[in-house]
Amino acid sequence: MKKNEFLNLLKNKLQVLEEDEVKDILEEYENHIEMKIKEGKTEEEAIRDFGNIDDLTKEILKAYKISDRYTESKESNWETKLNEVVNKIVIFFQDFAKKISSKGSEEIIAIVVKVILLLLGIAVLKLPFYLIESIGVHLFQSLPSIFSSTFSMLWKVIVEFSYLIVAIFIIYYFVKHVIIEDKMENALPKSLQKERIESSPKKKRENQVKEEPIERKEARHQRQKELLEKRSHMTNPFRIIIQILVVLFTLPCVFIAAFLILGMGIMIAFAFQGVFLLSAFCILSGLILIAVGFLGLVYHLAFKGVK
Amino acid sequence: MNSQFKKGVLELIVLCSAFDQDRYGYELVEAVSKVVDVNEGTIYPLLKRLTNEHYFETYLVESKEGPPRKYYKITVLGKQRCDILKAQWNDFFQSVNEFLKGC
Repeated sequence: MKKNEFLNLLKNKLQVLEEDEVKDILEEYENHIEMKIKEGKTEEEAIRDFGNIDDLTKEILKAYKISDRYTESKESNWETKLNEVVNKIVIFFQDFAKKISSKGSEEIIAIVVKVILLLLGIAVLKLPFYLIESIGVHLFQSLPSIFSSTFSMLWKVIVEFSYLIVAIFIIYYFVKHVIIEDKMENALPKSLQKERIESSPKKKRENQVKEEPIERKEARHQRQKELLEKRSHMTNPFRIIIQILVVLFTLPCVFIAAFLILGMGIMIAFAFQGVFLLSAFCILSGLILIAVGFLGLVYHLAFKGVK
Repeated sequence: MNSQFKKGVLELIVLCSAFDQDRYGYELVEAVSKVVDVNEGTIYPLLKRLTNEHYFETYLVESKEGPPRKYYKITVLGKQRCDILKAQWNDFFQSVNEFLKGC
């Protein structure tokens, strides 16, 4: 087996792991093979020394505390796939929460404004879809009555679904855009970005810490501490007032959320009786999400924001 | 030699061989495989695990020949772990030897 072949095979077998980690491992093996070649071995010999690639994969996964059963069942089992997706979502939200807590109030307001604009945009996007839907329904009404009702129903479902998909895509792109922007902001200076291609962010951070002289590090820590102390002194009385205000203002919001959930219940009851209002259902669930998200954000800002 | 025997002491040997100085991956693997006859490919996952468990820290150093090298530096936790393993090994070794004398 040639080097590239071996590395590709290993890469495929390690798909369960995160990309950075896989790259890390593959780099080590690549280096190893290259060193062996320098010592006079051939590629094939160096790779043969690694033994059976499946055993090797098992060893690597064991190092990550992932049983090999996981990879074996991965392709056939929906449950594991679902778990993976759920894990990714959880990690995404954790990152998002961390990011928000590390940001100033201006940036948070900017994000909130962006989100509101996005929602408005999606709401406006509903109009052309509504137009298409009603045109289609009118067209179908010219057909005999047996066809018209089924076709118009089908048409409605198709249009609503495509709207839903478009909306989801827009939200997805928006979220991605915001996150990518954040990453760019947090990224290191350009001189270090070249290195990024070769090494994972984790490594880079380690490198940086290494290179920084200890005295400077200590000085920086002290400065940070002083800043933090100052900040907490200044904000303490303010924060209590803000917290009280927040509680007063969010109470109506809580009631609204409760009513929304009640409305959702009624919708579901309607659905059981054969009346399925798809758009109202979507709008209600969206509003509930917004309300809950808003409450969560406010709570986070008021009670956990400044650390 | 029995592969289960090897696996048990491999961690101790890896930790010990980076105890006094930082070493890069290949160097460590070579040092370890001089002591125990082991599949060299399996040492990298072990290094990975020990790093994940904070017994090692890693950093990159540019090398004149080829890509940058990843160095492994033992942490305080790693040193403690090494001492514990060493003590356990010595105890084990002694009691087994004592027992074998009577055989």
